[in-house]
Amino acid sequence: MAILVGHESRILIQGITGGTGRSYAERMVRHGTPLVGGVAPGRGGQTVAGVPVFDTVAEAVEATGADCALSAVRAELALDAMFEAFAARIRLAVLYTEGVPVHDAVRMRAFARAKGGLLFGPNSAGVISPGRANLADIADTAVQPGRIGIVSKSGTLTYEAIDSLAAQGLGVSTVACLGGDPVVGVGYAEVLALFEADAGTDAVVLIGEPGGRMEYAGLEQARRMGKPVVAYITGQHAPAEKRMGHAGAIAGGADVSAPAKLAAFRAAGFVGCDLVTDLGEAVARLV
Amino acid sequence: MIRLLEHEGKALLARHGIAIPPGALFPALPAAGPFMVKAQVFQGGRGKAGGIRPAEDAAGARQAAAAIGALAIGGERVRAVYVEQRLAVARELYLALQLDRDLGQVVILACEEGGVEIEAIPHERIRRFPVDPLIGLQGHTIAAVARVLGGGGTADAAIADILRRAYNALIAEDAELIEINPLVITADGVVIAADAKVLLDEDAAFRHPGRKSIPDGTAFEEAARALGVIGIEFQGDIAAMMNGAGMTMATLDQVIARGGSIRALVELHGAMARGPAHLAEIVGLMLTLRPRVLLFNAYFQFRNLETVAEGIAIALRAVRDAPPAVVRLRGVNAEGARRILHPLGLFVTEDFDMACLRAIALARGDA
Repeated sequence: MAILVGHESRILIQGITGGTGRSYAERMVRHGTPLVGGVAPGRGGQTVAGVPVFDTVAEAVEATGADCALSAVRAELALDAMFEAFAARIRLAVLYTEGVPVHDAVRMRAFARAKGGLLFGPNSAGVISPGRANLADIADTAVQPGRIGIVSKSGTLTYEAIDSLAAQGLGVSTVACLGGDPVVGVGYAEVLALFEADAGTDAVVLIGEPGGRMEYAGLEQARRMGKPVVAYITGQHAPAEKRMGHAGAIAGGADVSAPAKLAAFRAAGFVGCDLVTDLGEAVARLV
Repeated sequence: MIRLLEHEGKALLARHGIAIPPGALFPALPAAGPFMVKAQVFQGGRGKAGGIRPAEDAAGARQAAAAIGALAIGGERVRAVYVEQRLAVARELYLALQLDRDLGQVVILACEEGGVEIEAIPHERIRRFPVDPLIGLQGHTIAAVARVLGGGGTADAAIADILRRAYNALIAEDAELIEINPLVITADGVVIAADAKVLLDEDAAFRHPGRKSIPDGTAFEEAARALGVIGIEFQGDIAAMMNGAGMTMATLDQVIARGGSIRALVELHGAMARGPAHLAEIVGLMLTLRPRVLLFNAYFQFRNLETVAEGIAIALRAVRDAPPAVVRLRGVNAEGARRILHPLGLFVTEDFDMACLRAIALARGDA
């Protein structure tokens, strides 16, 4: 088993005729990810990597029964792409695009939630259930199926976590990258709840960052779980967060630095790692 | 994120129809006094640092402006001096509209005690009004905020109008924060923005042609930004290049945990897509900091490592006295990338920790 995406998923790529979209399509087909089509306005009727291209998401959903989307459109088009996807009843969308304006992120997040959809991103490295479905910029050959879940804002750090687990002989059920932007759709807590309910996951690695309070919501969820959660919060030595200004100091409330977050996980009885390369051993001791 | 100085923030508010005091950038002066002379800096606490002074007439304003212009506030030189007509203040309020990253919503912050640092106000006295992005700012919220700030008095209507305009400005300008502290009610009952702090979203620049950030980093950090990457300068030994914010912070953590120190971090931010010549320019910029060691931590599972290898090779061939370099290569076309780097005789590994340890040893001169 796995969460979020699997053999049964029916996947679309929004922006399938662009360079990034095309690379994803070819890789998905090569490795058996259930890609059913793509969307590119004005390119309906073409094919890419052997799957049909549609002008709109609604047409693609109608014709293919698609329920998941990977979007690699330009930042200027990202908001509309997400509106279009969730309006057409896409259940899960990965927005890979970087540089999306934060007010656009706010609006797409609200719309996804109102439609009961799951938005990963903006700036998400994607979601992969190894051997089943890959909507991530993680190579299929770099990750083995297994029973450890990973949830992370960062994409590149999941590479290190996967390698660290693999060195202990541990594979992965699902990797979910939430996205590196300040405002993203799905948070740690929602993904942790899915891992808790998943018969194919024995333990979860949570990779956090400085800034924001999303890791604390994840911690609250972790306290309610029976499965072990191992945390690594990157940026233990990062200079103080500059992003938020004056009002941020009050709206932020408690400390949002990486050391404060790691200390909170440890204080709650969870294993916290100082280095990303320590994650594999820490998980191996618990499962 | 782009920070605006007070006078820029006020100009933005004025464009959206919010009243501001008559003002001018020194050496210009407003038509009539008495005046308030104000340092234009990003640092907080300028009042306590002597950066805000009253003046009765033009001669006094010039004298105050000269003194303020020579100040450094919290280490930041005063960037300009802004002179305003002084207000006859009856009440000072606090109003801010902020994009709250955790709620994923705009939140309006209102407090009837403004004019002091907001951190000094007890948390429970600040009222918070989230705005559902699907409906925007509606009448019920506007009325509730106006009641908090105006107390049901004659100023309520003017406060409601300012809130509506400030919200429109926040959305139209792609601002992450508009803070008006204080929002002043004058002795004549006029509601007017006596200060403005505005943060704009850099990612929305495509909707705002001509929008440029004010340089506020080191020369290296600004040059990195101009190359489309994120540079952060430190005082240590190793200049390191990574892709992805997470990997960048993890590399910092790893080097420090293993006993090393960082001279600079460069996060490529997708700059691989711009080709080897561009990457070589970025490496060249790192060399200007004269680091003891260069560390390249490249783990790509989607982009091609050969691009980064070619960039490194071009840059290092172009200089005579390059410092020792360590290259961690893992992922797509690692073998090809290794072949490109082979003639340079660099230390190449696929192991993250080993790369950091080697860079630290080289920085100490014992490798």
